[in-house]
Amino acid sequence: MLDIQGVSASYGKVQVLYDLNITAAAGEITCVLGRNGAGKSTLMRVIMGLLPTTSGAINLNDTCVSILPPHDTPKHRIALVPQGRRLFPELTVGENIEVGLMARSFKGKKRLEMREKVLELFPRLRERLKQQAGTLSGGEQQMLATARALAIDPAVLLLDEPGEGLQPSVVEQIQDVIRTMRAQGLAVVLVEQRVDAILSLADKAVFIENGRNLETLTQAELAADPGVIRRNLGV
Amino acid sequence: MEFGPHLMLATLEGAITAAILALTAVGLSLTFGVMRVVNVAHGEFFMLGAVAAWFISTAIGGHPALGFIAAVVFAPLIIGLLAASADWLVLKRLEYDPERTIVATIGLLYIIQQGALIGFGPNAQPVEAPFSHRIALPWFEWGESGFEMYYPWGLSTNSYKLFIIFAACAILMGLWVIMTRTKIGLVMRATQQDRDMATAFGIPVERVYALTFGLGAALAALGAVLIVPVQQAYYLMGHDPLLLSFIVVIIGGLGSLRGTVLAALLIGMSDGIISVFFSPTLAKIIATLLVAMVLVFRPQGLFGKGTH
Repeated sequence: MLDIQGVSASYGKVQVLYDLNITAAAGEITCVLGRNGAGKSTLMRVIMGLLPTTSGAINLNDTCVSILPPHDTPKHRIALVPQGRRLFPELTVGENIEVGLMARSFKGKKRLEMREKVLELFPRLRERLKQQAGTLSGGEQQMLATARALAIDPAVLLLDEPGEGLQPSVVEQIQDVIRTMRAQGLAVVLVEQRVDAILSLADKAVFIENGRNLETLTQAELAADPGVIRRNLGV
Repeated sequence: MEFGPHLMLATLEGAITAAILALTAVGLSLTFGVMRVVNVAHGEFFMLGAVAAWFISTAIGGHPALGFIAAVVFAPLIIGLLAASADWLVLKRLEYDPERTIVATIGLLYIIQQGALIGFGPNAQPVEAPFSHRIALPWFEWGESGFEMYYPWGLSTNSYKLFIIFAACAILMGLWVIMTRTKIGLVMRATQQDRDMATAFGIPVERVYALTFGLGAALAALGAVLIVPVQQAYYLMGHDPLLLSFIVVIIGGLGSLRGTVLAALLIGMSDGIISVFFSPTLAKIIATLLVAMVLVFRPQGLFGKGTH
């Protein structure tokens, strides 16, 4: 379980997260929701160690990951699919996946197994292994960003608006993969803005506003009152 | 000597300049490309390579080849480690901020230069080439019985100069293989393209930076070890390589290794040829004008891709 306890963080002198508390259990999809500028993407950066916490702790099972050097975070099986994909555009598709495999130092048979596993999830990438990532379509880039993250065999998968700017068929495919990951026991933390995606995927919804916890709802509570999403997001 | 054979000699001299320039400039380009650090002290690592070659070959004595082989192995290694230490002690503490690292490397330039003056002295010191055989070069001319080959008087080079060209090509090929076919090359390219994402995927970016800074300096030092038997080791010899490397890197496109090599070929050849036929100063003037033209009409360089 990923346990975010009282986490605060700042960009220089500007504080952006205030005493945030979120838990993400294995085999669940935890949606983090909030208006633009609420601190959702910052939270993802903080979990990955790319932005240090100023107080609080982030624990994965019994390990406090927020005190580790940032490049050690993926070694503890936390993977990020960032907003805007952020692929290595001049590396090939195969090389982007290789970077994911290298994060856990997979070698030999295990490396081949993991590579096959992610390519089975996204067969279209197999046809484009030698192609530069920057030349892929938006949907293929999102598949690659997801494949790169899954290549580290994560226990926690962070997804920051994976459906942004994509056609519905690709969004559906990405959502299927997210459900598969949930079924395989991953703790999925999903930053999402689209109401239909939230209702179809979320086991739990955590609303944040101005970097603070606003409200946490279970799937049943969301289903009972879908309007709560629109009210909290102002959409 | 007639114009044709004279041009051939000038081209050969240009090829040697281009070969050494390519090694030095690729080091600078690598440092900028991966770290976004403009290393103003790069020429001093070149100078240190030459000075280290002199120290090593003098200390070993015996046949010049022994000292040369030891210098080829140890000088780049020592200079690379020195540069990696400078990265760890100075650049890392400045968080690789582009402006502050320029000032820091200017400081490094003077520290290294004055350190060399104190430790090495103000005199130029020769290093003997490991081998040097005169090679007469042929020329062809259309005669009464068709093409005729003959050896014009004075048209010759020596085997070591040809070796410099081949060695530089081999080293650049090796670097290309490292960058495109190995894990460390992949790590460096990933870091170059997105530092944050590289960190998010377990790449220890600061260690990659230290390695890159060391590798860039080692390439400059290697260039100096190769050329020092033709020139001499001197504590102020880092100026020209620095200026020409910047010219090459700007023309080739900052961070583009392919562009850097092609621009080194262009600038090195033109520098060699113009220096032989006219003067080295005119060669530098033309190269600097070319940079100005590139900056005006194609700021990202001839082979650069602009900003990501």
